[in-house]
Amino acid sequence: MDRVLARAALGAVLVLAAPALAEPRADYFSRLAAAVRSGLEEAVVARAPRLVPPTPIKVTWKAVRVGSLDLGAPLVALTAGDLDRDGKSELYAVTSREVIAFALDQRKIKELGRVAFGGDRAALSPREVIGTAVVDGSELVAGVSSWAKELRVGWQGKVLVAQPGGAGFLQCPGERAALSPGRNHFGDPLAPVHGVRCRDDLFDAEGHPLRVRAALAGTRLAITVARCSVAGACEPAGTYEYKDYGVAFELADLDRNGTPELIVSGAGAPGDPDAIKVIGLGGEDKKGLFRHRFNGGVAGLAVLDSDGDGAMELVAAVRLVGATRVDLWRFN
Amino acid sequence: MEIQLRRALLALLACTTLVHAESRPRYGGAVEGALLGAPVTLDPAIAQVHAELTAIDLIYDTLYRIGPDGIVQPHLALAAPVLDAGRARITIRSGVKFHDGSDLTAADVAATLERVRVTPANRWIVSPISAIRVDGDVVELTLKGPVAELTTLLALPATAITRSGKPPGERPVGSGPFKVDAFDRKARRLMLAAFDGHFAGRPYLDQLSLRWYDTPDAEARQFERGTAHLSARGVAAFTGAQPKYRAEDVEGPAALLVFVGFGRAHMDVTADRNFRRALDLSLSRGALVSVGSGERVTPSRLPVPVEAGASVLDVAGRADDLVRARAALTAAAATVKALDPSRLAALKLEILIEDTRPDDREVAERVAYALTKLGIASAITAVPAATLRDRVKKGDCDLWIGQLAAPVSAATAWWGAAFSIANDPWAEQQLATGTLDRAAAAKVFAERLPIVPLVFRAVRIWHRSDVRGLGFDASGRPSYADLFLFGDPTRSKGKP
Repeated sequence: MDRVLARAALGAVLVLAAPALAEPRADYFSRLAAAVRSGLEEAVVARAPRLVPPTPIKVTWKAVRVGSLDLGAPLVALTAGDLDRDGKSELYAVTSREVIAFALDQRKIKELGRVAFGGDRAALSPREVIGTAVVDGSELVAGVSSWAKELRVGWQGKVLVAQPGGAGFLQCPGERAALSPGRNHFGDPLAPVHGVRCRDDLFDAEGHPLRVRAALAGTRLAITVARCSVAGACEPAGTYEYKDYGVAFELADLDRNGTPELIVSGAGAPGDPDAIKVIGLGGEDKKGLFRHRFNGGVAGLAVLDSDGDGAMELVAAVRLVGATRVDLWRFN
Repeated sequence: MEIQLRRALLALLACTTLVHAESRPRYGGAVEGALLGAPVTLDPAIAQVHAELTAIDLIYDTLYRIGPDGIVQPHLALAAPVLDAGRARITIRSGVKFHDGSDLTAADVAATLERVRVTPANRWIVSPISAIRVDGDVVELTLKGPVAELTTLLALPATAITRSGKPPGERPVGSGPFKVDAFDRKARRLMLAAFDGHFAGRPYLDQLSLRWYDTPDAEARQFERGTAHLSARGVAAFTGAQPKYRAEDVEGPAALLVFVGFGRAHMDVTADRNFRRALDLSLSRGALVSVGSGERVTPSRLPVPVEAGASVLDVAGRADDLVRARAALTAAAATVKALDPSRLAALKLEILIEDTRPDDREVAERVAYALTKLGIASAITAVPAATLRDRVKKGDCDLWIGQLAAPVSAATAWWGAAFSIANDPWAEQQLATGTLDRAAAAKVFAERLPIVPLVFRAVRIWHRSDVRGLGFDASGRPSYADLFLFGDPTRSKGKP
């Protein structure tokens, strides 16, 4: 390792120094620079992490009602992540007032902590509360339309803590948006965007990292997939479009077969029948891989590894319209 | 047996499909609905009837709002008042705009409340306040004493904020979710357009047209044809007929009090407490339950609904009590010559009703029948809303059928409104001390009978299947700002 780096450093110096040297010795230095460059490339290839294809697992789509929770305010966003670094993902529920962290056990749910939004109220907010929740590194960034600023939530030991974030809404890491003034969507009123999800922790069947982004415009879901090399360079690998789906949706690879899945809710009006459906990207979407109906509306979807066994589980938060109580259902 | 099982299974399936999706309401579209009668004014300070209060809720904002659950929430106010040494400091939300783009400030709030203080119709609401001062973005109210329900009082429509506190005129400028496009009394139509800058969110509809009708079946006929999206008077002009589009209905709280008010045309008669008691006792309130379009109707002898603490009327309370009524009339005749049995035949009382509220005619007929039972003749006169308001103000009638709407669980608001509508200062004087003793109010009300309460009724609205989001606030006002269109209307079965 040290020898390779020393050769590379020397090579770099020589390459940089080469133009200043006299012409007769240029051939030598050119050859030297080429040799160093080649050596460096070999070193990179030799040290590149090997592609590890995901190992398919069998998903049991059995629906289990984990619990019923009164959040004290309507749920506006749901996500999951292992922010406390204990090897198990926590579930984060964002209401119009708070961010609440939960741990999911086999058949029960335990509240880990909650932090409240604060500061100035939003000057102009939509008639219904809109929210986002994005895991960004070791923090959860939560935004709610009733408050002017986001909340950055993390853990200090075993205590859930928060500090004010920026204005606007983080939709994906590095991607921010503002609500259309007074309306329940992002972007222009003529091209409304109701939500965005991004995943960069999925892999294709060969083990290449994938970057997947789904955006809901009206009831149309547009999904882009980019396949990345081990060096980090990404190239488009597919675009997909699905119609007539609701605001609760998520991306995952629950069966770990290298084809990401899109998990969607219904596009009916509040009060209409609702369901979730799992669709393999590029596959048949009418029936999907799995479908489950609920006696309530799907207010949020999240994918997490609640027990640290490496298998991801799908969680759906279901409620009657506007209710503060949600039922949590787990699949797999 | 098999049929029963099938029915049970179908019922079970129907139950399991009563579920709720979570997609978001969409923006756009125009809806035609109706008001429960003609609004005489769009000035919050003098608004009285349900139609006016409904319009005011759409055009203006108040400092606080009372949700359907009866809980008071800050609206234009940033938070609950900060109480200190007999003062209530209310911080006003910044960034709120009037429809003309100007800022709504603490000065507008103070000026509005000052105007309510000098407006006889509703000054009882602010009677606990002795002084109003602006301190930056704070309105400071000096209170005459501890006020138990200050936020409830400041949520009442009369305190809705107008620009500089001035009467809004014919083209009102408020800060509410809709701005007025046209207020056309001749065409009986109030045209509203969405206000993009409403701080609590743009309404989903682009336009809302609210009409009122002067014939009993006109509203239902419009709905039946599919011209109107909403109807508060049924789905079809004739019983059994089907509207063009499938209809669903939503009912609000029974927060609309229908009452008999007293004028001064035969002042010696109608001002007499024994006469009022005789009328009260001769009315069979149970018979009034069938008046309307099938909405919930709760008979009452108090101007306070059950939700605000009144007890439910038993069977005896719903029925007339002619023995006691005639005894009260005899007592009245001792001091009122016109009620003497020898002169009773010459007495004829006029009952005024508003011509755009067809239910009021049915109510008036019941009142006329009650008078007949006492041997008193009467005549019903239907007049336009403005005429009714004017004649009542002048006392130029004997009896009139009126309505009050207030947050259903706010007892103070009901007592205050009931005394105030009859120009009785009792509630205002009580509230000036900070609180209103409900037991004392009931006692004084029973003695004076400033109005004769008849029923509390709900408002039921039928809507096309493509109209969603309809609900009601605590005062039974439809939440038109939350209305949205979704998909296409479903045709009724059997309709081409």
